[in-house]
Amino acid sequence: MTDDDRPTSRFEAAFRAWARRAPVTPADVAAKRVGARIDASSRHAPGPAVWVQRLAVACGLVLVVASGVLLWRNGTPPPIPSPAVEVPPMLPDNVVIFWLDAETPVYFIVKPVSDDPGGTP
Amino acid sequence: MSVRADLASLVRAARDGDDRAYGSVVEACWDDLVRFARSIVGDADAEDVVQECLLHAWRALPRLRDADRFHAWVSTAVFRRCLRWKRWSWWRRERVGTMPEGTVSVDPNPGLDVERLLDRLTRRQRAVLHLTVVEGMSDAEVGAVLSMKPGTVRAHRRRARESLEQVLRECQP
Repeated sequence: MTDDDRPTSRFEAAFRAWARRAPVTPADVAAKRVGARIDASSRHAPGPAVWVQRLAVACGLVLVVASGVLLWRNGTPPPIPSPAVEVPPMLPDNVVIFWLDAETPVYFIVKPVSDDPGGTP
Repeated sequence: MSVRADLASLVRAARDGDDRAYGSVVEACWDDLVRFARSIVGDADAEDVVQECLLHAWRALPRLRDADRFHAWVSTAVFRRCLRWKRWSWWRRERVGTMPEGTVSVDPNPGLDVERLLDRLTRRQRAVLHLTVVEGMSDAEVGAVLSMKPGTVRAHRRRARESLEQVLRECQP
């Protein structure tokens, strides 16, 4: 199949003609427009004072973010002991306390050893 | 002096801060760039895209090391901007209806609606077809402008032709 026989060759010929049309705006007019926009943008370019302000804001943001990250990485501070938890009074020797948690003690009372050895005679 | 060498010397002068030289650069490249953009985004947006690109190119000019590559460099910028342009400028299509008569060029192929057929292709396929069919570039040259490998260029062109063949077959009585 030659190029001319290809089904798209008619499209490509039409595409070439379509694409090669001159732009609506002539090149010299476009050059003036671009030049005017360059002039306008250079006139409105931010001065050093604006850059100093932007830099200060950026530094402030960096400080806030950095301190936030540091706080987060160091974890939450240890919990303050609750004043509601009472310190147990002095206990006799035969009492043992197990703390299930900060507020739940379990008392075990050990039976005192009697003089009677017990058991079978 | 050749046109290309002339353009390179103008680009060098513009890079050194000569505004007038940049005006001449714009004049020299305008038609080619608008044609390229038109094949990708259509008549209504092409000139806006190219104007934006040339403005950004002026700002980025100090970063261009090789003045001889200006045309390819700015063509790449136009291609990239065309890819982005369509995504957020859907509302601009509405403006076309309000444009004064005569501002949109008349299609020289009334028998074949080129713009409508191009709508069936992706933007990359349109760019590849333009540079191949209209500009007559080799696959390597097209790849350099579009930042693609020659194999990718061939794949885009093959898929574009397959899509067009299918549409043309459907349109045949």
